[in-house]
Amino acid sequence: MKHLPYENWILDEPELKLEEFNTLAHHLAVCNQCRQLKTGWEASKVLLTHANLLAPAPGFSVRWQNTVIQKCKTENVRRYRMTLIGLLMLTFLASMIYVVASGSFMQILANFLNSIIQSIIVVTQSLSNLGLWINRLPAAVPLAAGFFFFGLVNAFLMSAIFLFWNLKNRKTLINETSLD
Amino acid sequence: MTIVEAECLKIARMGDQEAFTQLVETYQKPVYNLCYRMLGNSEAAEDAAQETFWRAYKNLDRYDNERPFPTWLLSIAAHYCIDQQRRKHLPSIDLDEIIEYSAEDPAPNPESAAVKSEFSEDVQRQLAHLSEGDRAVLVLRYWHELNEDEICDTLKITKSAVKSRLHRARRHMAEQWSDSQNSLTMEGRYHETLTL
Repeated sequence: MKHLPYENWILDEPELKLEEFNTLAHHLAVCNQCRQLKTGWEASKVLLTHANLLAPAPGFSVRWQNTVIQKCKTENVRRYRMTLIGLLMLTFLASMIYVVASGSFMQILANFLNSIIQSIIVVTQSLSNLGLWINRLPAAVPLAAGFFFFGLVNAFLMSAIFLFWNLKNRKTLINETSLD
Repeated sequence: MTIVEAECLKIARMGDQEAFTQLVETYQKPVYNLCYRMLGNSEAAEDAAQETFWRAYKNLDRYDNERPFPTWLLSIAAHYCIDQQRRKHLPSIDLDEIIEYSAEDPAPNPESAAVKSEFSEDVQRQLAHLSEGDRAVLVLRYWHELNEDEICDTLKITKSAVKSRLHRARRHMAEQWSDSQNSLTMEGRYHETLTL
């Protein structure tokens, strides 16, 4: 069974002509679905139109005045912060522009890159010297040192895991006690 | 809007906080009602109403005199509540509070207050199942008696969107009512069987 345009006539509440009104009445007499829709909507409309306009708890305007004072303070702090951040940004921008425009920026960049390269060279040379020094020792010494450091790292890891596990257990116990 | 309110608005636009408080006094009820019907919780509605008035106060210089002031306020409230609902995604209903605040007629007769409270409770339960957009349209149409053009203006949506939202909301309400009636009938039958 076709429910259009009857559903629209029920829900959109247009001004129906007499002919349309009669057609709808005939349809409602035979269609349970549309009849239910009409009854449901009419009942809901009664609910909507009879439920009253709710008012806030007494003293709303007094609370509003307090809100304004609070919000104004917050707004002032926010404005102050924004101004400060803006000024800092402007200063930073001005300094950057000055550094780039005066040509000293390229000099600073070159010095920075140079210092990085120098440090890499120093580290590489030191490691190479250490390697040479280790090679001069009898084979048993670096092997023993290796085992010793490996053991030390393992012991450290084990104690860290144990400590973590212990702490976690204690936390669970405290939570359970507080729940009881 | 009365001449006194228009005068208050004029003075408030010059930065007078007292004059704006007068406007808050006048429009607190429709704004709060809209927030309550949208959020379904008195605490959230109070916060939303306060925020609405704050936003209105802050943007008074942007208010267009050609537009009705209450519609502008309702527009701010509706948008704020829709945003809040979208953030939460879960409508919360506090039925005890609905009953507590719904009987606020100055001299309510106990029977009518109880009936009104029941209406309020039922309607809030049904509204909670609608989407934020559909709920806003329905609340503006039936509580604030705005026509379709005013709803368009308030929610900043097209007229066809208002029509389709109203259609969808009405269908949803009708179906919910039918469902509740069916479950009541089933319950009645179950009790009859038990007594037999």
